[in-house]
Amino acid sequence: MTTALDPAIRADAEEAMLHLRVGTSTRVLVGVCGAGAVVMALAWSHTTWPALVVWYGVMLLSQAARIWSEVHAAQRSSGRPLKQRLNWAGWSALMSGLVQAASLAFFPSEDGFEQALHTLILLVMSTGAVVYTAGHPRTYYPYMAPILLSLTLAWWTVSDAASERPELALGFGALLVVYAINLLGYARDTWAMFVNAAAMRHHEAMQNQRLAAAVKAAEAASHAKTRFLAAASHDLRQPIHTIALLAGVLKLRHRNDASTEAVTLLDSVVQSLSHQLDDLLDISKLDAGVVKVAAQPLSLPRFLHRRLDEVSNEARAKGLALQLRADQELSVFTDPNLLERVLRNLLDNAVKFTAQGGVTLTLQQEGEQALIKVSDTGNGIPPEQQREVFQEFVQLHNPERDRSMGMGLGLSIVDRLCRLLEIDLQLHSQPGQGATFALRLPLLVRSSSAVQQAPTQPLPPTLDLDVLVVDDEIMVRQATAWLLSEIGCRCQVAEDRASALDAVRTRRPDVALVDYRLRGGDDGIAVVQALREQIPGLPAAIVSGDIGPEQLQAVESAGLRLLHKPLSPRLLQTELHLAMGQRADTHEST
Amino acid sequence: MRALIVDDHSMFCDGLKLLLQTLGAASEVATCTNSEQALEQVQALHWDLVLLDWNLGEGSVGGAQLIGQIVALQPDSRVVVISADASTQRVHAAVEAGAVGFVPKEASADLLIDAIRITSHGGIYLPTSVLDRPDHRSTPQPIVQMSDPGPGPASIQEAYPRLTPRQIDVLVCAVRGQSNKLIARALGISDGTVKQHLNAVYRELGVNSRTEAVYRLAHQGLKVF
Repeated sequence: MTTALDPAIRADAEEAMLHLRVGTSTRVLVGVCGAGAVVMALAWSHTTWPALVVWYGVMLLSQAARIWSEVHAAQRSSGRPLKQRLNWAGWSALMSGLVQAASLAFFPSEDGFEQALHTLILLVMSTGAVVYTAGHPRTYYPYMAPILLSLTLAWWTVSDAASERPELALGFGALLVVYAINLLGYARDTWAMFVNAAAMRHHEAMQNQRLAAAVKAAEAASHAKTRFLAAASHDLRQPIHTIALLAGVLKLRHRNDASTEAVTLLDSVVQSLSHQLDDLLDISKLDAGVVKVAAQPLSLPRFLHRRLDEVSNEARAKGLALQLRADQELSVFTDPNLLERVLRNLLDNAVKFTAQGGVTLTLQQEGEQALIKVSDTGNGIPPEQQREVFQEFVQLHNPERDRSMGMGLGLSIVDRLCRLLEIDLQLHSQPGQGATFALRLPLLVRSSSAVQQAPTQPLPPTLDLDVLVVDDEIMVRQATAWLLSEIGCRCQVAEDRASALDAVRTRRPDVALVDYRLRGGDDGIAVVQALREQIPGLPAAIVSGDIGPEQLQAVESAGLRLLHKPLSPRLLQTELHLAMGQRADTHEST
Repeated sequence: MRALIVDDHSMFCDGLKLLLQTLGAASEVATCTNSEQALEQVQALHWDLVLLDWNLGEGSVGGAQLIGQIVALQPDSRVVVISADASTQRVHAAVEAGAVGFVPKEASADLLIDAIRITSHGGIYLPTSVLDRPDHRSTPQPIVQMSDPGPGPASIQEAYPRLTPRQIDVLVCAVRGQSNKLIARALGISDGTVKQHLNAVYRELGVNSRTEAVYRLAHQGLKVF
């Protein structure tokens, strides 16, 4: 097995064997020293002690040399080539073997029991060494050969001398030869297993390497795709846009010409091409994972209104009725651009595939969720095809595959976008009874809360505004004034309607924050109206701790923003920024 | 009228130039393909209209930053953004940065002609989809039609006869993206006076900010020069 071996695997196995010896080094030392001590004790009574001490000293020295060579010289960190390190291991094994075999010099003087014990010790040592060398031939043989050869010779020698039963000693010597041969076979098998394990490790490492390379290649491909998309979305569309311009030029030049028809057709061809390219790029971008979600608070009714406006021309041309049912002021936290794309696709589809009747866009609250429904009175989608329509290039009502109706990417884009935005998308439809696409998004805190639409730009660090605070509680007035000064505003305070009107006569505020419940049954909305009689169009917001649905309605119908207590600097900043819009910036620059 | 086209695709520049010339809207049209050239041009010569591609390619200054630089160098220019991405957010960012119009690079010749005609005649063109409705809670009304392209945009004076000529001057400057300081310097009045004028104008228009004013004027199809 070892002959046909990949040199790299053999080297791995040999490296592992050398490493194995570091871990076992101390254990071997304990064993050898113990065994040496026993041998010394056995021979003590018959032998002159200096010879024993010298032998034991030499053995300790040889062990020290062995440990040094195993732990340092034979390791990869020594920087020596593998072959040289294997030689080190071999020589150190030979030295240990010779020193231990030398103990047999005391053997002839021992009695029968002592000889048996001595033999047992040496056999255990040479057998155990298979484990410590993993049976590696060039390391194991130099160790076991001197011991077993000397041991065999020792037994044969004592049989010649004063043995009572020489044939027994001779036979035992022969048995030792057989044992040695078996041990060699055992060592070879062990080494083969060891190499086999190394081969498996090697294979695994190669596999991992290949896997890592594949992952790297995939990443590179993904980057390439992203780069391509970036380039494509920026550059690929330019020629098409230019053609549109040129079509415009032609239209202007040949105003009453017969070519007008051709130019009009050219224009619609270019439009179709442009939309199809946009769709393809969208799909690829979504699949490549380069579309990032930029979520922000979004007030839905106005947003939905705009979406419906976008298809109104087309709907009117087809004689379809458009309806918006969005009476509740609901806000969500999502990416407006991507949600816009979702609704645009759904509404475009609804209008495109509805011949008569109309399209309805509905917004309602459902528990903690906002439910947006796009319903049409078109042909509907049979249940068995309701899954299929979300796949790419599937168009149900276009069997002729008229490409001017697009490529059938609309709903697959919707599906991907909804997954990206974590919107629950459902389709309800019966053939002949139209279709309804339902989108469910988690609501943003309370409806009509203060944070309906955060500015797209980061807030300026400070606002330089004159703010009028009207509140009947002195603690609240002071706290609010303090908050306002935190964000860089100046503040006037008033406790009721009269003092508020007084205050604005002397200094004109940029914005007013008025508590909903004021002293003497007066309410904030009325105070704002009174203030606006003096300063028309004064930006104002109502502040309230607790407010019922009726009052909420009143604040909304007065067209005022509502701020919930407790106020935070951040909330105030957002609100004032919203209330003032760009004016805050221009103040800043003065 | 002198128009400067800034777009990193020279092909598109040439097409747009041809369209402007065919419309007879501009007496002189120059093109450049990067922000450095654009700033050089703006510094050296006076341009009534700067048609600016929002995205000038990777690694180039563009978008809001470039609009700001152009307005600072040439306060009398009207910057109109041209972009393939005409999302509400993008339009809002452009107007907030000082753009007086936003033309989507959409592939419809009629729309482009309209948009270029309106902007070259001093109007504000914004995509209809981003125009605000005063009352968003009613049922949909007929879609806003961009002002009839025939006679061209009406003047602010006609639409808001109660505004004084000085207030209109201030409004036009503000709409072009100039800061109060710049307006004050240009008109030789104090910052405080500019502020007062603007407050009065915003009240008259029923808006709260410059950005809203731009949307409002676009909505009404009014001229801003």
